[in-house]
Amino acid sequence: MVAYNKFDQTVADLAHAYHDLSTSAALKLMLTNTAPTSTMRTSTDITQISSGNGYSGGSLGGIPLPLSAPAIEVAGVLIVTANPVTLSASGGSIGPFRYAVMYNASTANVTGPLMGWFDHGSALTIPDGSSFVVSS
Amino acid sequence: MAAYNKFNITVQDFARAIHNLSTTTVLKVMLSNTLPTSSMNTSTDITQISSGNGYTLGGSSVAILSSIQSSGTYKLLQNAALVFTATGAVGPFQYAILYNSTAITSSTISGSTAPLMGWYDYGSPVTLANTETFTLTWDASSGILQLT
Repeated sequence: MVAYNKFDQTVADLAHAYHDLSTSAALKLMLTNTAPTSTMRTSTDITQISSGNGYSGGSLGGIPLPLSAPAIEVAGVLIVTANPVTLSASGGSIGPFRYAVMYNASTANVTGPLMGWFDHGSALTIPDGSSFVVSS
Repeated sequence: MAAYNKFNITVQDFARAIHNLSTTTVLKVMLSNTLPTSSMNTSTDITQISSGNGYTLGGSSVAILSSIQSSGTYKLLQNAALVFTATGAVGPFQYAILYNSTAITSSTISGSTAPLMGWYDYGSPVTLANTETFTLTWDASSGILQLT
């Protein structure tokens, strides 16, 4: 997986109990071809790629990212792990996109607080019939 | 203020919504003369000094003023100094331990309340004589603690 980039607001959201990274956490990955900035706060700040052909965008959209275990610390370092997710293009291509933005699809405090993003390094398009796998 | 030392569990507690550092959260400081270890989880792991002469088991509350986030660094700020006033001999103690006394349902490994948040080492044991005070004043710029 490519490197994690944090949003500034995420530390404050963690301090205010906006994120409960137990297995019940509803994390998602939004795809975008527009570079996020660290000052962004919620999912509405992200310019997603168009919905269709296997990608569901819109409000609180994106690819569900199920945690494989509750967040756990090892010697004081927090580790969050997720099961691999696969996005398959069907009926046409998906993208282009370069960034996968992780957020919490909760609406308990604020709607869709952002958690971080991953930069693929170059724009990517999933051709019809192909798949894109994200794994930690 | 002495340097902050973290407990390993604290990052996990933040990630599992155990701490909500709003102004309604009650943080407390307890005093101990036994060095804490980073693997401790909750307030029951701490060997406090004896109760009495102005010290109450469980410690005293920290008045939280506010919190701010700037460029990805979160700071928790104090409202007023925390003062322990002796009405007889108190101590000796060397360590001040910060914890969250707000009753919460914890999903930590220990599964208990009053999770620890950090400790401060004063370098050598301190004993208060009658009428003496011990004041904890956190740096106004650095705050009580920071998250990055």
